[in-house]
Amino acid sequence: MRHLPLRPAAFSGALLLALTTVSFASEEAGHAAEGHDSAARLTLGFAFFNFFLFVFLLRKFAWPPVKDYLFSRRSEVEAAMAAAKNAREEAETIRREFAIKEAALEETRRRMLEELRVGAEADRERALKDANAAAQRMKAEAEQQAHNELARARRELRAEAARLAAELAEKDIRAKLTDADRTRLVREFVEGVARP
Amino acid sequence: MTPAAVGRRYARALFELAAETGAVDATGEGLAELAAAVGSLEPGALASDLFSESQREQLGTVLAAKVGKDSILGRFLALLARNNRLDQLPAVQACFEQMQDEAAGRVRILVRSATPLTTEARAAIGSRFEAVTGKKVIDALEIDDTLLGGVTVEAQGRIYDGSIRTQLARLERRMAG
Repeated sequence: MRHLPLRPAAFSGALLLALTTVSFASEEAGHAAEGHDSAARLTLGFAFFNFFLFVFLLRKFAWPPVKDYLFSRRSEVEAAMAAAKNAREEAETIRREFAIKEAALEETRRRMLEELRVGAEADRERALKDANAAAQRMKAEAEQQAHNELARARRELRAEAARLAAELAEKDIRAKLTDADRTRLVREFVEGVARP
Repeated sequence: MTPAAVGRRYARALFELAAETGAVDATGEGLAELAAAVGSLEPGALASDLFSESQREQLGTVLAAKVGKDSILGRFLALLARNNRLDQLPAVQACFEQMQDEAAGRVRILVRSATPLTTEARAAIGSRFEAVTGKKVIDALEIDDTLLGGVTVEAQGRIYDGSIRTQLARLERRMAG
């Protein structure tokens, strides 16, 4: 809807009407110069009368709707301004909330990063510790295995030496054992047998 | 029931019957011969699932006839055949012999030696074990040259070891640590 500036429009209309009347009066006056001054004044008075009648009519019939329109328009403008103000405040509120959320988000991001960093650091420490423990364990196992291998080799060597010694002793005994020895062995056995 | 338990039960029954009739020695001798014969068969030759009931009856009748079907041993063999227990004869005989020995106050020992023993040595061993067991000793000799020297004696479930082989083995174990 297009809103006209009513007060200046009314004024312009009145001025135009006055000028027309004056012009018409001047024209009439020109003719009157040829004749009658009183007729000219009458015409001028009639023009004023028309003008004031016009103003009156305007004031009576045109001004109330114009005024209502202007009041209505003012109310609309005020309502629009209030709505705009509310919207602006709401937008400001939203902006503040967003700012708070943004700050919170930043804090969350920073905290998450910190937690990730701490977690990664802990993981690294743990992995390092596990690796060290595994290395120690492997080293201990290797040492134990070497120790066991050495002990086993020693045992095998001792067993082999003992077996060879027993084998040599057996050959020696077979070669040198006499009947007298056998008899003596049986006698010693008989003497050594005890009651169970 | 284990075969040994079965053999012991049959042997006890046979021994008590033989003792009542005063035929322990005769029954023992016959049983020893039969047990030796059964022991010489291949393992499983008298397995329980090889013969039908009638075949077992016939086998029992034939064996009983060989040793006298009305004798204690004859009736015992027929019973064993009927009960499908002929393969238990060696176990029965071993238990019977043990009961015979216990009743007579005897003990059997098995002497193992690397070389044959002199009569004096066997007598010395026998008298020593009579003193140890308090019973009359019946010895059996087995030659085992792996012993190198000395003897081992198995008596009443125990082994008395005086062999050089065992002493050498003991020495070898000590050296090996």
